[in-house]
Amino acid sequence: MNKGNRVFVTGLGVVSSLGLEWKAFWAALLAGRSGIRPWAPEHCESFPVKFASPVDKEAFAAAFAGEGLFDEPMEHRTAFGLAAARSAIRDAGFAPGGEALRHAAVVVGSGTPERDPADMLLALDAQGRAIDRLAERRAALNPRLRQNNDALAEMIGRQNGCHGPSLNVSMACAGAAQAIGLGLRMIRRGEADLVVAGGADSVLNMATMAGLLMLGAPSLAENLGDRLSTPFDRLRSGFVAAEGAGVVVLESEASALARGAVPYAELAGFGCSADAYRVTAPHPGGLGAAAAMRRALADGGVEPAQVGSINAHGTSTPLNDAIETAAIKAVFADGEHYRRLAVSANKSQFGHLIAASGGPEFIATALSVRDGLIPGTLNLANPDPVCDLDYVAEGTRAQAVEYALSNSFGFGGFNVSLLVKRHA
Amino acid sequence: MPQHTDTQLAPAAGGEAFRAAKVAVEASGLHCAAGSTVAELLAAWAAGGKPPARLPFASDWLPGATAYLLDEPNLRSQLYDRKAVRTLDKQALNALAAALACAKPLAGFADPARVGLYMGMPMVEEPVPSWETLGALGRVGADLAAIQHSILGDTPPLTSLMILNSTAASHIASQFGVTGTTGVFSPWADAGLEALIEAAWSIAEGDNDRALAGASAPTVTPFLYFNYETQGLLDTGAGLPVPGEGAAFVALRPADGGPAACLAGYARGFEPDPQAAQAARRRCMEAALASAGVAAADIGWILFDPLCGRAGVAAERAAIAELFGADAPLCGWHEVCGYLGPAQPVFDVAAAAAALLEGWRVVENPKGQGLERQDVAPRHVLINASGCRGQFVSLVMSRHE
Repeated sequence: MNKGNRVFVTGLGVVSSLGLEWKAFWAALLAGRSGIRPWAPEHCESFPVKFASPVDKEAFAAAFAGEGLFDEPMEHRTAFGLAAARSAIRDAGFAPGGEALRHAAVVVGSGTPERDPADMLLALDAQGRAIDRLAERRAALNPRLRQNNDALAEMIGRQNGCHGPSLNVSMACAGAAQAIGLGLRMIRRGEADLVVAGGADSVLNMATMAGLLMLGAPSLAENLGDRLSTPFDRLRSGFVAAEGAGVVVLESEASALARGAVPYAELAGFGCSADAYRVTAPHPGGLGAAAAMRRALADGGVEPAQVGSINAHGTSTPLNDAIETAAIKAVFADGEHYRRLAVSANKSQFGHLIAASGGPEFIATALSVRDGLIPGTLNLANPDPVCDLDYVAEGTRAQAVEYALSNSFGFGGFNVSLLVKRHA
Repeated sequence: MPQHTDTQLAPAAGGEAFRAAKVAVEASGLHCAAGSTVAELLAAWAAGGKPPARLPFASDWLPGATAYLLDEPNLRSQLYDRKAVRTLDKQALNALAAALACAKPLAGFADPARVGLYMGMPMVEEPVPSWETLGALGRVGADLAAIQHSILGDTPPLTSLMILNSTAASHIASQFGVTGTTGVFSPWADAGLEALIEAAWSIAEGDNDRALAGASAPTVTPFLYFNYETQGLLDTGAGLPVPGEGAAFVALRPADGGPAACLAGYARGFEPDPQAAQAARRRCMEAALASAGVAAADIGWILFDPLCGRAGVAAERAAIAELFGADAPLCGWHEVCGYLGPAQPVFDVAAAAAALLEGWRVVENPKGQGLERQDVAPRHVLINASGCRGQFVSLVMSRHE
């Protein structure tokens, strides 16, 4: 049951291949546009992964040039996260550094740090590895790449004058969603009135992508072009890697009402779980995913039959999509309610933002319940027989929804589900 | 409403619900150079400790650098599949060893879906690409096509999972079959206390009946020192930090009526300005005391953060002296096991739980160097932990009858 203060979403910030602020992002989602395009790591044109969903760096730099966010060395993921956080804060109507933000908490999810083989090659000499050699050359190490996972949370706090709790969540692809869920709990507990929550990530570099490639995670079906991300389709063959950030301002009901803020939606519940299965694969029965959804519903005091739509994790990998489908069917089995759910996968349009993925997808879910519009799942031309839900394959659907879930499932079996309620 | 202070920093208070839940430490498991129990930690201290080892990679770069190193735990044979063990680095194995040492209370516990897992993990300080790949790259020279071919051919298959610090939590969840709510925080000492606080909340808020909370210290590699150097931790004015390898876990449950060492209150905040660090830390501790419903005079033992990020230990000590007096009963275990990063505050919580129940404390000798044991039974203990960039957390533990 809901145990405390109600929590509203009052500010949105997105950086993605589909847009550098939420209005453009939302318009692109509703228009069914794809952010997936040809891609190769720098100096590596023949890399096996041929498509990705990158942020337009020039447009990004131009869009935030006046904010003074990037005056120190930082990884791409940090830059994206700072921009999204600043956007969300302004969108909520707060002035960065202002008195109103003084007690705000910052909770963000991060993945693995960005690394560059050229950097690490400084550690080699003719005989092989040589730490002394690296120490001698360390002035040549790229300062942009020497950050820790907490850099984003710290810089959001420092740049915007947020002096409340500063937390970094490391839970793989569930990181951003977990951060948003923790933000909900902090406000309910009375620990904060405002929480800047979300995540940022960028895996679009050769070292990280090589590691993901070795796992067999990204799709190599280049013949599909920008239709490569095919959640729930029989031809799905892996995810399309993306980069960017999604950050929201969560606010207590009392705070939002006091200042006359108009919420986008209510964050009504949060559930998480561990698969306790294998590090290399999700639980085949989707037990962990189902537990996260059930806990989110219980946390919000909502029955399964009240849920109208699910923004699925929907990675376009063979395992995830079948298992997520099974988990949804298990949670919504009563009266076969799963047959009445609209299930869509944003990753079909902007790919997989890894640790950040829960951020933009939560934002899309909040806008979906606000506007009564559910973005479709692109590229679903050959439905997999085991993926037999209503995936909104026809494109954006007008459908009023009172409650929606946003799912994020991470490597290693971390599962998070967020329950979003339409704000009347 | 949150218990905000009236100054610039307002660490949030845990509040009445946290205190009322009376979440107790049921068991602990340690894994460090000084041993695997609090008793062994005390014995190591009483014996004067053993000196840290010189680093195998110490050189002109780090003259005199030492660390409390551990052999890699021989746990791989206990794990369920040979493929998966390749995703475990040393710090993950250390975490697993500590979790195994404290998980007896969970044996036979009826519902693993009601057991939570919360961890603080450092980043994985290994080169990316891996040493294997780098070695291959060194052999192919500057030809870009050859470099790419080498990266693709020589990157170990599960590298991505190994460098993902949360993978340790996946292994531990699998090992114990626990599927309750979960959370992993990183990368500094504050992350260890965040894990404990959220684990306790998961019981207080009804998500779990029990929880495992723990953390690992980073594996001591050259890259850890590069990281410390970048963060300014090699130039704190207090000499080189002596890192320790290790991990610590505690099992949490609701207090059941008998004497129990409980997590009673906390506060957490952020102040990036080193000039404001002392005042901010003081306010954080005050908020934690208020959250626990105790006064400064009630605190019988203080376990401080021995590294404290850029602001340095001086700000921490000054803030403690300001609030608790110059002769505050202070202790830092780093003298017997090294600086343990996220695991540091979990060691502190394990020691505090034992001290609250057994009636002792170990404090800095006010007359000189070193620590001394006192048969003084603290009723309340304060534990501090910090991040490297201005994050700080204070936790109060109390004895409940």
